Amino acid sequence: MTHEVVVKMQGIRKVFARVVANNNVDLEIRRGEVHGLIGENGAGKSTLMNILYGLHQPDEGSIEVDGNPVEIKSPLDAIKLGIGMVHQHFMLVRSMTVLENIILGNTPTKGGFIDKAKAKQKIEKIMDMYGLKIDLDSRVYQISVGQMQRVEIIKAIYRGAKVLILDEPTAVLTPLEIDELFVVIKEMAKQGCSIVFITHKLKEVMAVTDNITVMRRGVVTGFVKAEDTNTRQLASMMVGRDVVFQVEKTEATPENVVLELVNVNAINDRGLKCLKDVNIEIRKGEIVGIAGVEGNGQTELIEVITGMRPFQDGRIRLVGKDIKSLSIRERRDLGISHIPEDRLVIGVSKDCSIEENLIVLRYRDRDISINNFMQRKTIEDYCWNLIDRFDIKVASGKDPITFLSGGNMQKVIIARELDANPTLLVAGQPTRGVDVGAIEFIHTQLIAMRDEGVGILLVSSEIDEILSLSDRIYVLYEGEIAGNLVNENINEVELGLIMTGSIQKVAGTSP
Amino acid sequence: MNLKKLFTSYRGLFSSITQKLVIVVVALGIIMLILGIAGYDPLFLLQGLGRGLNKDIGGTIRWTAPLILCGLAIAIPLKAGVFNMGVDGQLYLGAITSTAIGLLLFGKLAPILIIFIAIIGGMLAGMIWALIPGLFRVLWGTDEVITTLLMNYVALLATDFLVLGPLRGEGATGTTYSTNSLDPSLWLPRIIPRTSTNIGFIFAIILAIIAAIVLYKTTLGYEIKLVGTNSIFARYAGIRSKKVIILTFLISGAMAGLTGAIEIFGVHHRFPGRFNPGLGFDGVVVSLLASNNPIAVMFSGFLFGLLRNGAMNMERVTEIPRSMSDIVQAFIIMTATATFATYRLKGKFREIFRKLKKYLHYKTTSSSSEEA
Repeated sequence: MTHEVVVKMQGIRKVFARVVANNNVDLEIRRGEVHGLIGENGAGKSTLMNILYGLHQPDEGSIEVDGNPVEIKSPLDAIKLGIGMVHQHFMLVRSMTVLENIILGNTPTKGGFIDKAKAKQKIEKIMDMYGLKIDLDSRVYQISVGQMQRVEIIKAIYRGAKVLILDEPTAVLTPLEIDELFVVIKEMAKQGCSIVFITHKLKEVMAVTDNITVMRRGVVTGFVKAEDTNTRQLASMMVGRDVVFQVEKTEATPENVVLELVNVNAINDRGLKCLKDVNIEIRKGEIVGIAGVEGNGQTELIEVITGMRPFQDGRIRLVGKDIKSLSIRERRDLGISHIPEDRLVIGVSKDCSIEENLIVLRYRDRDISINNFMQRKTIEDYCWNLIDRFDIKVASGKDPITFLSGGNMQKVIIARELDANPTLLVAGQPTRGVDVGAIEFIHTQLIAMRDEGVGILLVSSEIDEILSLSDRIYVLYEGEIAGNLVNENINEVELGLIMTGSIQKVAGTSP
Repeated sequence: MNLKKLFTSYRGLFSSITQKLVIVVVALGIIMLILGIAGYDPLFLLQGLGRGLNKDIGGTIRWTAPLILCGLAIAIPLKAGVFNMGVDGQLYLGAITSTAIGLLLFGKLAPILIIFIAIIGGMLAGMIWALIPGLFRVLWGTDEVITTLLMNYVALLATDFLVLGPLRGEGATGTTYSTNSLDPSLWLPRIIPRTSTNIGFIFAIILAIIAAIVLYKTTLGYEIKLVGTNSIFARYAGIRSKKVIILTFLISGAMAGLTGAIEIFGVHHRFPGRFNPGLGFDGVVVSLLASNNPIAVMFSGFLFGLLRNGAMNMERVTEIPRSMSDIVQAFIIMTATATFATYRLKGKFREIFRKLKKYLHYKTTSSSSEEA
């Protein structure tokens, strides 16, 4: 097997509105190799590949294909250069047949008519070559997700892809389908294709790749041969060891149980099982962190607790009271506060003012409204009180909430949720996308709430945040509690291994 | 507060009013151009509008009343993100119900009581007709634009059936079918003598003001705004979105049914088959031009009343067809939607300008360096 370099990316830098997604990234893809690209969500893997596929333009850096410098302005350019990509979300026309989907945009014609026979012949050759079997005449809505992925792969090869980018291909597959995919990937590599395999599951990367590039926060933190490494080393490269936050806090004094989840099972929007027999317990006066790579059930866990997602079986109790059948409003009235993961979509109404966003949990209270009439003056006073207490930088409460920076907008949400006097606070990614000053402020507030006796569930994809704030930690992996740790002398590498599904560590009972 | 401060605090209001006026003037300009091209005197349009403001102000107000009510019937649910395209159907059912009550109860109760019951009946009919798509929307997520539109046909044909069948009036022929006339004691009082202008106009003004108070001063208005601007956020905060959505459907249906009852008891005094010239759809334009603000709906309702009346006058005194007023409305819709598009385009233009500037700058600097 030759080892010539087919794609060489050098010094790639890409900045999205203040966020550095890629910084001085180098990547080499050789002929006939399976190249693993791993890292946490937001590490910059997808950005890098979108640049290679022409979906984004790099701010700096160069790309060479087969030794020639190229400029890839669109996916069309990428396809011409033999680069294909299979996205996480398939781009197929559901009502059309598999064959029609494959030849869409690259249709062989004969006298103005589609030459289906010729197309079929060409596709069957590809299928034989790589062992990709699929019925060409079934319609896309009839086939399974795994088969749709095959259609996407065949489509890319049909268009002449020599380098195939697979963006988290296993996320949507069943274990059996994953095994089948690996066989196909290995066969393709043997035939001289190069494959970039994006994932954050270390077992998979060890099983199928030749070389591995690790990314973290927009930079490459490691390049290794798969045979020379192990999951432990990869985990430490992926998670990193630099602790940025240091929060001062005293020993927690947990009291009685606030929230209890017993064998909770739930399905996600795609109809797949996303929570499997989850048992969680949160006590008054402690911060319980949920660690895990994003997409392993954290979002659904938050939704199940706050009432935004109904679930199948299992029990959920708030201070001993069964709340499974209660609405969001009833749960809020019982004292659940919720800092949502997606600030802009869930946490605020962008077309409303700062005041309107601040009073949403209290507008029915006495004084804020009397006989259903909103009391302008009381609202103003109430909001200014919060604005001062939480140090929110605003000119006027009447301004649209979108005038605020990410950090101040998050403070609006936190002020609102904390002022509701919760017994349980569910905090999803409370410091995502906010500046360092606001992070410190938010952390201090969370600790203060804990010391006042609130039970806090902290979901974060920042391991450092989990480690510095939590008293206990649960690790979610593929919807299961893969780890259950007390936050004393936690080995970060071990945590990384649990998060990536390499090991499990569940203690019998929590303290 | 000094003048400058006053201006800055209301700058948004001023600029949006200016923007609306520009829309109207541009649309009128275009229509005059078309009149000119078609070989008519463009000034006839202005004359027609002038008459509608002066001698025939009664005719203008006669149309303003239902247009304000229909504008509100569109604007209020739109605040909650609900598009009730079924105002016409709800209006028809309100009209036929109130007519039936007026005809059946006449002589049995005091006239004032009958009028009252008929109007309430008309509003209830409109509410029931609006409740059906409302329930479809909150229970199964059915798109209300489709269901309300389709239900218009059902309502229209149902009134056809009633007017041609059980409620058919004496002397009604196949083409001009209608019910019997209501007794003059049941007619709504006129506010301008010898015109069709009735107290419905006063109802419309009062309701617009009430709508503004409800939307901007009450908890219900706040909930409507939250649901309309971000329904996920409303759900997350524990707002009962379904209740709010159903309420707006009901309010809208009540307004539409009221419009129907007022048209019958105030203007036609009987139910002429298919009498409604599309007030519900005009309501969409009224609301669009008013940015769904009830106070602004009063003014844009008046403007469209003036247009409709002006166009009818124009037809009366010249040979220019009334459909010209429809064309004016169409142009107002187009200019109004075009302004939304330009907001988005502005960014694009700015970027092109920036690139052009950069390019020119590059050219001049490179040429100057060559000179050097």
